[in-house]
Amino acid sequence: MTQAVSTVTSGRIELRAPGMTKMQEMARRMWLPMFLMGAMALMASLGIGAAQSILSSDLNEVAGADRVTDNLLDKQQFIQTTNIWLPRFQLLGMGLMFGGITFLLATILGNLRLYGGLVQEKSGRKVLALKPPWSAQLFPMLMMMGLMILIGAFVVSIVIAATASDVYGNSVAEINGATAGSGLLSDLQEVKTFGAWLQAFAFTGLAMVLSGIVLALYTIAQVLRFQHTRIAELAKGAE
Amino acid sequence: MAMREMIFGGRAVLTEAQPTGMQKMASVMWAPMLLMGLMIVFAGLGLSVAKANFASDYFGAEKGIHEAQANFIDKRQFIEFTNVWLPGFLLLGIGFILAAITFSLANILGVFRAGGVQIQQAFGKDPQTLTPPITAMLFPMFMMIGLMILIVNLIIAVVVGAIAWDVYGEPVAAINAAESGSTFRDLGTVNTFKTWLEPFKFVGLATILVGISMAVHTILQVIRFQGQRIRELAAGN
Repeated sequence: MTQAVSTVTSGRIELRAPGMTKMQEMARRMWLPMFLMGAMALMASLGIGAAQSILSSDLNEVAGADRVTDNLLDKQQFIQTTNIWLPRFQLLGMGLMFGGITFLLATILGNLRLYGGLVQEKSGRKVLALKPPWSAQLFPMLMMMGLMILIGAFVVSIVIAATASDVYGNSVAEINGATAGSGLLSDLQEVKTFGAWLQAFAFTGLAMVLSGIVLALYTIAQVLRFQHTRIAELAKGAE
Repeated sequence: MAMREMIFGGRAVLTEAQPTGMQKMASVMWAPMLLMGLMIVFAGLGLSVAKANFASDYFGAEKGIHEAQANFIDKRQFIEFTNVWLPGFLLLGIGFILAAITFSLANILGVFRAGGVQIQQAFGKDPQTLTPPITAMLFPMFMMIGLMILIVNLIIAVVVGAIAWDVYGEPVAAINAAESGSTFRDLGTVNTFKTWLEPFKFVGLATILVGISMAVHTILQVIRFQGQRIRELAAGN
């Protein structure tokens, strides 16, 4: 890890020694665990989806009005609660994988900084680096905000799934016959209301994480442009 | 050899350190694409909050009331109408952001092209570059085809949404009792289109992702070429 000595010219800084920033060091360690966590969440979703489909197959052999035994109501409960949280869990898995890609891009930036510095040091010149552009400050924040939104959507969907479990523990006839002011109708209203906006909310989180990737790529382009210019300067004998 | 050059690219000598026209365009276009994508996703979030508001009113009333009274039927109309096209609208937003990623990768290719020439000129050697491999020609096309699929999907979904608006303008009892004919047929149309529009939009998204893979592969070819060229420069060629 290196600290900047001073700003040489606008847009350039001089480093004490070649190395990555703290954030880049952290990203170098974190990209693989993030990616693996995302992959694990998606694989777990696949398993839960398969279980849900088996129960759904059993449940749909019986007409809606006849689903009154405890066994069938348990299946109905599982299917309906899973319908609420599983899509958010899948999007969280995808978000973690995209977060892994963001960390990988930050690692590439770290390597460009490290090896760009080493080339300058070996040739006995000043170790210059690009002053971090605005996009370099913004992309980790976008990624974290996106992941927080995805985690928030998942937590809310778990809470709503618990309410849905109360609702769908009743038979279809009881749910349809819920009267104004009853707890059952109020719970059903809550489940339907939250279900209407949670998916779009989770998509907003995913959009933020992807926006972070766009800005990380823009930062890489800026760093590469600087390094090409610097190598051309070294070839012409600049200090 | 010609086939190899088509797939992996050959060599050409350039006179000036400039990206191609497409790369110049990409260096500008990534930002509007990103902004459009974010605007669409946030508009989708706003619409889903409005839908949630209607859903709260609708499901807050007893089944017998909300299925028959005119003011509740209006709310159901809006809910069912947005249910048809809102998922496609949100994915179009994500598609625009993925297109911004594609443009950012094309921008990086432009930086490699211009920078490679700049360095070779500084060494006083022939500024060589990689002639575009086939993936460089294909990735912008895949991005555009993917976006077109997402836009067509949204247009069809809005048309089907309008049909859903008509269907769900009827009380639930009337829809359930519909015989072979207009309302029943319209309901069939809505359900049929909803069934295949779901995977269709993911085809659009997958096409853009294929484009991104090709752009990354092109960057890999360029890095490989530049690594080889640096070794040649070091050897005095």
